[in-house]
Amino acid sequence: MDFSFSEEQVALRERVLAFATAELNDDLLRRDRDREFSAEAWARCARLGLQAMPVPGELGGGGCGAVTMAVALEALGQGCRDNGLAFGLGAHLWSCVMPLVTFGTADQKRRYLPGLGDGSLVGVQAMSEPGSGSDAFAMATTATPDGDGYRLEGRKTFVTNGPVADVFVVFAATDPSRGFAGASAFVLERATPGLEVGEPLEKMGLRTTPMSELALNDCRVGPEALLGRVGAGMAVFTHSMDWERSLILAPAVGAMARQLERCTARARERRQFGRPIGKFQAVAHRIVDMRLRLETSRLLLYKVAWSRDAGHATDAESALAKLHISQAFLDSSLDALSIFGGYGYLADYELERDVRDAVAGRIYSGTSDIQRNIVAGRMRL
Amino acid sequence: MIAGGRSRGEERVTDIAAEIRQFITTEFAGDARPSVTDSTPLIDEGVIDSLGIFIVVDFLKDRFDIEVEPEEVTVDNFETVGAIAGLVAAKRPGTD
Repeated sequence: MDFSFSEEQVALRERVLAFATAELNDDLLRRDRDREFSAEAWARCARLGLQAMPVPGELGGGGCGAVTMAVALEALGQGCRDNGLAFGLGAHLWSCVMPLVTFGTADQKRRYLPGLGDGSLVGVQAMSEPGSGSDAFAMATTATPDGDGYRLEGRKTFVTNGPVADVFVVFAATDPSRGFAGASAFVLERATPGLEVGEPLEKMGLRTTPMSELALNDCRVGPEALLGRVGAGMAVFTHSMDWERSLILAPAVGAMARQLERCTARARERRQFGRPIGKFQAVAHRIVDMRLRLETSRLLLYKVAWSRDAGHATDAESALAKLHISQAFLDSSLDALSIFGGYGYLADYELERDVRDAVAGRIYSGTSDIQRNIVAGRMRL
Repeated sequence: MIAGGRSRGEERVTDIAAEIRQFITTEFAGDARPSVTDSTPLIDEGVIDSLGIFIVVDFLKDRFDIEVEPEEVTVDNFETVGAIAGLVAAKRPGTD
């Protein structure tokens, strides 16, 4: 067993870490307070090639494997304190770019992937609805035949990147009587008549990536909008969720490394009762727990990434990684806040924001309970 | 070589279907359901759900040494035991 990365991956990690530390943290306190998406930071990520990582080389992308992408995204999360930006980037990659890479026609790939890869287009996925979240395929949005195309009607919610998005992967029932078997996926452009993006939703955390509802009112599209075959919605959705659960929390692993570094330095420098606080077991043990969470999270992240590259089934592994890393990030964020005491509660110290951001990890891409259901199903329980 | 056996190239779709039917019956159908035939609508009758399809995919990979691409994981390919056997046979040259 060999846990080492290639020379190229090590160099990539150093490059992304230096870039993210220097280029992505501008004015973050204010942007978080004002719920502001940074188009400039998005463009900088694109110039480095982050949005293009999974795009095939012939379409201007990096054609990267999962381990390489995990390396880059962990480094991104370590250097970039803007968890919202990293989350928005993940949503773009796993819920829009990957479905197009895997299921897109040659025309769809040529039309969308170069722009999604160079950052000039922002991608989203619209699945959840006011009446269907965990029970995703109980959707009420329909796509009925209309000439040689379809007419979409319905309402979506929790659309990450929605307010700034250009390309929407939308799921709708083409045969509502068949549940998951009757769902299909479509690629819609922002200018499509009848597609209406709602106002940004106010959230507890991840405030620098906007989220909105999406209304589809008499939204007519041609046959070229269908992504995959009719009835392939389940395959498209499951595939993208598997990618998302595998890698959406790679930046959180980097964030945990950042927290550990800060807390270790704090524990050595901050003195109380005549000693560095790290000499108190209550503090030292908390920091060891943070390290343990970081190490176990890394193992699960790279195990699932390696499995993907090796062509193994990953649905249970991706659910386990997502389940564990999301909880580890929240627990370590709370521990970091505690180690800094009253200062940790202040916005200026940028630790309370991590707590608010980390809570979302247990909800998006399937709640932690849904991840347990997936693993239980795979264990034939 | 074991005498009397059929090589991979001589495999019949009916043999493949029998193995798939056995797997699905054991894993999903349970005692309370009527027996699964090659034409039982697996999805519409609730024998397998979306997660179950991926368990079947894993079985096919392991048992028949084939790759099922993400875009092939569609309802038509997993609607019945017969459809699944057809998918497998198409990926195994020489199946009659």
